[in-house]
Amino acid sequence: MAFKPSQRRKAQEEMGELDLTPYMNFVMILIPVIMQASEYIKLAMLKIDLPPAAGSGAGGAAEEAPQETLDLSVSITSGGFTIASAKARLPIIPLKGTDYDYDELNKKLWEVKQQIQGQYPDDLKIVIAASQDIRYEVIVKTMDASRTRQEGVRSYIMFPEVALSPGIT
Amino acid sequence: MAFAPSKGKKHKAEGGGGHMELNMTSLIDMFTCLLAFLLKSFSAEGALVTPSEGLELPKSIASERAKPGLTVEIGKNEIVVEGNKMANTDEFAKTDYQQLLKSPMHADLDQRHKAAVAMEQYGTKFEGEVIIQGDKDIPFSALYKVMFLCARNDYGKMRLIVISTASS
Repeated sequence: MAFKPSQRRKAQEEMGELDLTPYMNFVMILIPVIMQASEYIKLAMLKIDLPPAAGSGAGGAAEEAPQETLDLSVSITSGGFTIASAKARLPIIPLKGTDYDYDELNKKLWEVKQQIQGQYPDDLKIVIAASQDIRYEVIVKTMDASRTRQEGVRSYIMFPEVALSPGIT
Repeated sequence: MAFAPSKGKKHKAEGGGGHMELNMTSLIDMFTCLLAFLLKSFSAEGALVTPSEGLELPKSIASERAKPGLTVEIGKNEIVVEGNKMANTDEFAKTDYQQLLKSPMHADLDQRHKAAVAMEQYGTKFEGEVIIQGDKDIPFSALYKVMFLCARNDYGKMRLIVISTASS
């Protein structure tokens, strides 16, 4: 009696193609879901404070230490920036062309930061005062220039606690 | 001498019961790349604050994620609190501080503050957080007067919403 030929060879040939339909279905659903939930515009927030004198009790500085304070401020006028503190007032940083010179402001504040290192209790605070008609964008850029200093790949914190003041009328 | 027609080709052309296989390898490669890219830029928290239409927010290097709160929008033409128009931006910027305390915006914020404080007995703490979405071209006086009214109504934790240009 002859044996029936083996089925093994035939079975191996049939296994060749992987059924990718479920995977494709899954991916086709997942892609729209993720695309819909993604943020293409990344929003961030900037914390701001009112100047200490004009606050409505929201400030947290409780103790009135007799220590000297720096009272650093940047005033924005149509002519440029002026950096001032309790001790000194630096010369005005004029406009660069038609726009404000944020790089120069950043550089000058960095020099101030290095000079005052640890001498004052309020060495993280800065008050930004502006004329009434200064555009909001200029204020935000000035805040950016006051907060951090980029040196190569490293970024240093300068004056992250920004308070806005109407100051100049 | 003419050759006999190929039997193999005739068999293929007729099709018969055999079905065509679509080569999907390249498509799957593309989808896998797309999926990896989307997953990388996907944030699990989703968008907590949505930018308002018609507002051109300023750009900033700030990277702190925006959190929800009482929303005040200062557009080029109007000031909107939580979707309700409160004032005209130009007129608002010219109004003096005493007049502001009689404005509808002050009344609205006062009402919201009282409602939020009243909710404290049910366990929702009043944080006094307000997020200000301002158009990049508004004058500083408009922004400052909005801040003034917020502070008068105990909304002391003010946040400016900006478009982040930070790389990470």
